[in-house]
Amino acid sequence: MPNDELIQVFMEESEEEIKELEAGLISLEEDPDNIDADNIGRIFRSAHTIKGSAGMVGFEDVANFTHNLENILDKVRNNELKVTKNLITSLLEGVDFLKGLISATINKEDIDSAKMQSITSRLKRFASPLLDEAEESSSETKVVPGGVKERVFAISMRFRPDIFMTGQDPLMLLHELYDMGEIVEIYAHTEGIPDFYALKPTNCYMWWEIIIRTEQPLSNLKNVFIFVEDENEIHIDDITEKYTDGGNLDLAEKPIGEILVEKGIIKEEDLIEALREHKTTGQQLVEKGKAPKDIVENVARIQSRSRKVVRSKTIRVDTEKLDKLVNLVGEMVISVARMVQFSTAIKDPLLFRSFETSSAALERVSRELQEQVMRVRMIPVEGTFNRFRRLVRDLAFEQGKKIELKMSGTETELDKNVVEQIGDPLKHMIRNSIDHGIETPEERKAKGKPETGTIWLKAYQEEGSIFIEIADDGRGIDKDRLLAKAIEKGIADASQQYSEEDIFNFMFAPGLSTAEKVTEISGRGVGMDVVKKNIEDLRGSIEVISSKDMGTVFRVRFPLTLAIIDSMTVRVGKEVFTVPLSVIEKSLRPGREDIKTVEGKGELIDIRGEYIPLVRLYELFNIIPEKTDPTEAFVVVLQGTASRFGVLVDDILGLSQAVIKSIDKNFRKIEGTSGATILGNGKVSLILDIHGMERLAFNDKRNIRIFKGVV
Amino acid sequence: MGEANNNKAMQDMEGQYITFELGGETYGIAILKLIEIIGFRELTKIPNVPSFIKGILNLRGAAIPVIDLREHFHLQNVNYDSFTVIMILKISARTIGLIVDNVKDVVAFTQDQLRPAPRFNSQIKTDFIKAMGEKDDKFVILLDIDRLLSDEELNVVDGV
Repeated sequence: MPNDELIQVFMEESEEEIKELEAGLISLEEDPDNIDADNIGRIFRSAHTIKGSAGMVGFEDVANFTHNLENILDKVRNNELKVTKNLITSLLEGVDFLKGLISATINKEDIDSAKMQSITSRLKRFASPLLDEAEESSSETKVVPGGVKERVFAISMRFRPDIFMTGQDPLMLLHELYDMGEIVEIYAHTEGIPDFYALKPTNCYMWWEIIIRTEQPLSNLKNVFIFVEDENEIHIDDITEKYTDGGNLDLAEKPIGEILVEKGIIKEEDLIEALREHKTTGQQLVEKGKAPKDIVENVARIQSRSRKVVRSKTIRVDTEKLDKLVNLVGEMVISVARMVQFSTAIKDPLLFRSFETSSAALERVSRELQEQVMRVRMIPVEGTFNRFRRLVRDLAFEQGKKIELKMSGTETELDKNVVEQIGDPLKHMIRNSIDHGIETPEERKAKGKPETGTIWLKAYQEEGSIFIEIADDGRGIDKDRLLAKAIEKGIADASQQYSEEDIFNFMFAPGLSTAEKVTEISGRGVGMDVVKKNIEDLRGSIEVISSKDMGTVFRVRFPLTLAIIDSMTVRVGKEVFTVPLSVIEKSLRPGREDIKTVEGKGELIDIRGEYIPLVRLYELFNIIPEKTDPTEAFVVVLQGTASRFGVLVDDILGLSQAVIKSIDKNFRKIEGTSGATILGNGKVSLILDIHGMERLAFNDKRNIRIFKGVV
Repeated sequence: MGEANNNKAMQDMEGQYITFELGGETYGIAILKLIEIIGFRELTKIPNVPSFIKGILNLRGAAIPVIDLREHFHLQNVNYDSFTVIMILKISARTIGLIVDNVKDVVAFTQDQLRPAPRFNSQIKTDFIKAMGEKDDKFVILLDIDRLLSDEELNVVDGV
């Protein structure tokens, strides 16, 4: 069983997707003639997502059931199936059942398998290609050539046991019905036949139920029974409205037990007895003597209590509300700070002291509040990443591949909004890597690679963005095949020349899939276009790097919208800058002998025998400094991916946690900074970006981060 | 441009304007662009940008760039004082602060009170002037703020 965190994530996700699904279906129903491709696409994706996630947490029943919904939606999407009221009703019923199924699965309750069966078989009837043509008539009466309407009747015939004595033979009646139309269903009830010794060969013990589709009017049907109807129980019902090709809607809604009772196959008492015997696992174990009763009961009690606890552990809040809260609390902290400053105006020493005490308390509380509120929005990517262990394991097993999943940077915190929504696109990319990237062990061996393929899942923060990389050491993307497919699907133009980047981008075009067969996971062509859309919705971007037999890297970049970083605040002149702690190696006040000027290379500073460049921040940013002599000021040593340098500042003010605010939203990117943060006094402070500073200082245009994910 | 066209253009510009003073002249901006008016406060300087971009301020948790039109129009610099205010404007997707000497009134201009922007020689850039408004013998220069603070303008980097 997957761990609780996974289930929690699945529960939340499926809840949302089901909402989407319902809303989409309802709007589809409102305007069935006008199918909005976007809408149906969204509904389909919701179902697809639920199926995928369910498969990932190992909820087979949920995944299988959702698969049926998805199949129908796929047909609707491809215009193979017409939207009818009946179809929507069935789909909504399916969704309702799915809700119950998910909660039953999560709470480890028993599943109503009879209902699942009946709904599944009805859905399958819609999806079955044989019935496509008939489908169109599902809500209306089928019109056959000649304009006569076909109707469907349910006939039940129970005969008196001595019917043969009256010269009637039920078989003749059946033959006659056969001639009148198509017998869709026939059921002979044999439960009335007594045991051999009690059996009278001249008696009729059986009775029949028939569903017939015919052009004949009801009166003609009645004529068949004209000689028997008085003394026998003959019922003929017109069920045309309820009947949708092979399914009786009435039956579909009922549990199997009830149907059996209605059909007289079993008695109601039998059903009740059977239900009573339907025992829980615990009960069965107790009865078999495997566990003492009181212990089982105790465990069950604790379990039911914990279920309640699990349910109330999280609450979904609109992120917009959180944003407002974060901003308001920030304002409050500043107002409190201002108010405290006014306290100096209080002349009365006694009053001043009590004011000071209470305002200090207020200050502390409001700061703590601010911190907590901000933390609410930030969550580590760990939870999302962990969901993929199972996926990789199962898929690798299924496809006979050996794959190891390596993760790093799982502690990287991202805005909740982003973390929540990257799950789906990441999943698709990982599936893509497994399905199309990693080769079979034999293939790998032949290529001289280790049998076990590796998928890397990394998160890191760099250059004011958060990166998530999904890399594999598989076969890489087959450019020629991708291009051929794109041309075949009409996405690319055969006469045109495309760059490698262009070709890779075709992967994200809707409706393109290079998979030969439709697997449970990828290959429906729903994957990569959704991936791209989802990522772009989060203001992110995606980049693909691939090389033959080396592997493929999907690099997703997200802006730091509301990320919090641990930081140091430094001052140059009147300006206060914020430096991410993650790039600070140390800070020091150099001695005179540590500073060297090298012709053409600028100033260098000696850090324990190693010379590193010294960057004067005031020169870089054109600010008037307080100090220009490094021996009186401070040097903060920054360590980036490719370089190391010292930054000269007037003073170091302290450590803080900075909430990163975007500047380019209202302005544009400021070279050398990765955003801004609001200081305790309400002023804005720019956050230094090591890479931007590097470029400014050394005019370094080298792209230092190419193909980082692969070997 | 025909007379009819002109009238049409002027008709489109009818409406309420918030007027403010800058170096002795009165300017107007369509009132719907205005979010709020705040008193002048200390700004955080932005390195390596043209001097008319004065810095960033914190407006309820959002970082907002602040611009001084006086410098943009090459008017004489003035020290900021207690009357100096910052108008917070919504310009397409951006929120931007504009430093002005003082805010005067909300004035409604009708079609007949509007004149097309005067044309000077090509040396003087006037395309951000939408129209001239005349009311009670006073002239108001109505600014096309979207054009004035376009992406292009904001993306100018000092020295380039």
